[in-house]
Formats: sequence, structure tokens, C-alpha cells
Amino acid sequence: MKVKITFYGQAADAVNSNAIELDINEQSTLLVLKNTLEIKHPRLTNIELKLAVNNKMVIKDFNLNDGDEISVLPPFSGG
Amino acid sequence: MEQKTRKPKPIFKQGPISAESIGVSIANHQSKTEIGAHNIFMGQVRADKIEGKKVVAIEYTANEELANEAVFAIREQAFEKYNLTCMHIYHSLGEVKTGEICLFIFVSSPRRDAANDACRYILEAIKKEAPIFGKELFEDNTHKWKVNN
Repeated sequence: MKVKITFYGQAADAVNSNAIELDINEQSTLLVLKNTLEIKHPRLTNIELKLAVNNKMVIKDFNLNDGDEISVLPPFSGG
Repeated sequence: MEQKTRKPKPIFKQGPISAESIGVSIANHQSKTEIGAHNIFMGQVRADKIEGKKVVAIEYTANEELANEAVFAIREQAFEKYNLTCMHIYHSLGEVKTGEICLFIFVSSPRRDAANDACRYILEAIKKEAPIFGKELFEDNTHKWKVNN
């Protein structure tokens, strides 16, 4: 199944991209996806990331669905 | 009574927030005579020196939908917590040069304590909870990601 991942701020710098589409296994969880991204882009591990799925902040791990949109958010620095 | 559904208001303005628009915003409140106190916070881009390099601008990006929702929730909490008449919040997106305004919080109340306390509360909550990202741009075209203290 396919998911869309959008990277913000320094997370976008770390992966050298603002957004990607990724093919992942059925039954993949958010945490599995995060680990996959961190292995592929080790610079992400230096950033304290928050994740949102379909524009809802997510704290606990859960199963992703085809077409989900994931936001990878570094520490907020507005103002 | 039927409950009115309140929706997040967009907070973002492209580029700096102009002094003129702030003046207009203040003038618009002269007809609201139940107000006795306004409190305004304006964030201005500071020419920090970091590792010998001077910041010339901050470029802001955000997850706009999430940020609008976060600020809406903060706004609702502030209305519940304090006796407020009205509230206006704007944040810049894109490039804002040093000396220009990037954040405008305007809180009005019958009394000064509520206006003062609410403004501070809203400011701190926005910095902590709204997914907005500041990229500090230096004179030599390098950059560093801003960190909120």
C-alpha cells in the first residue's frame, strides 16, 4: 500500500525532500514506518520528531491504511 | 439553543505583518465600547548573531491545517479561562526580514488583568503547540533552524 509523507522544517533538510510517496507492507504501523525512515535517513534520529496522520497528531502507534498522509514534524519554533 | 459550530480561522499571512494592518485592527475596536483593556503582543524578527553570523530574516513554514486547529483550540481555551471580548491572532509565513513583525496577538477585555494574562497564555501556547517552523537565514545564504526557548 502507498502512503504520502510530508516533512517539515529541519526534517525536510534531513531527508532532502519536502514530500515522498512510499510503498509499505500491509499491516505496517506508524512506528515501523518511522523506523524505516530513520534507517534510510539517519539524520532524522537527531531530531525530536512528532507525527501526525491525516492531520491529526498521533501519540500512540497504530496500523496505517492505504492512502494515509503522514506529517513528520520537528520541534515547533513559531513566533 | 442550537450550538453554533465554530471553525478554525486561518491565522497565516504571507510575509510580514504590516504596521498599517495592526493600526487598522486597533481602529476597528473603537466601536466596541464594552472593552476597557487591550493587550497586544508583537513578535519581531531579531538580528541574532549565531556563531559569528548575523540573522537577516526568518523564513516560516507550517503545517497550516494543524497549526490553524492548534491555535483555534488555544483560542477556545483562552475564552474559557479569561473574561475576554475578542481576540485576533496572525502569524507570518514565508520570509520576514529582521525588524519586521512575524506574530500579532491582540486580546481585548473589559478589564486589564484578563487581557494581560490571556495574551501571555496565548503566546506561550502558540510557541509550544502550533507546528510552525522558523528557518534563520544568514547573510552568507546559510541557515539554521530556530529553536524556541
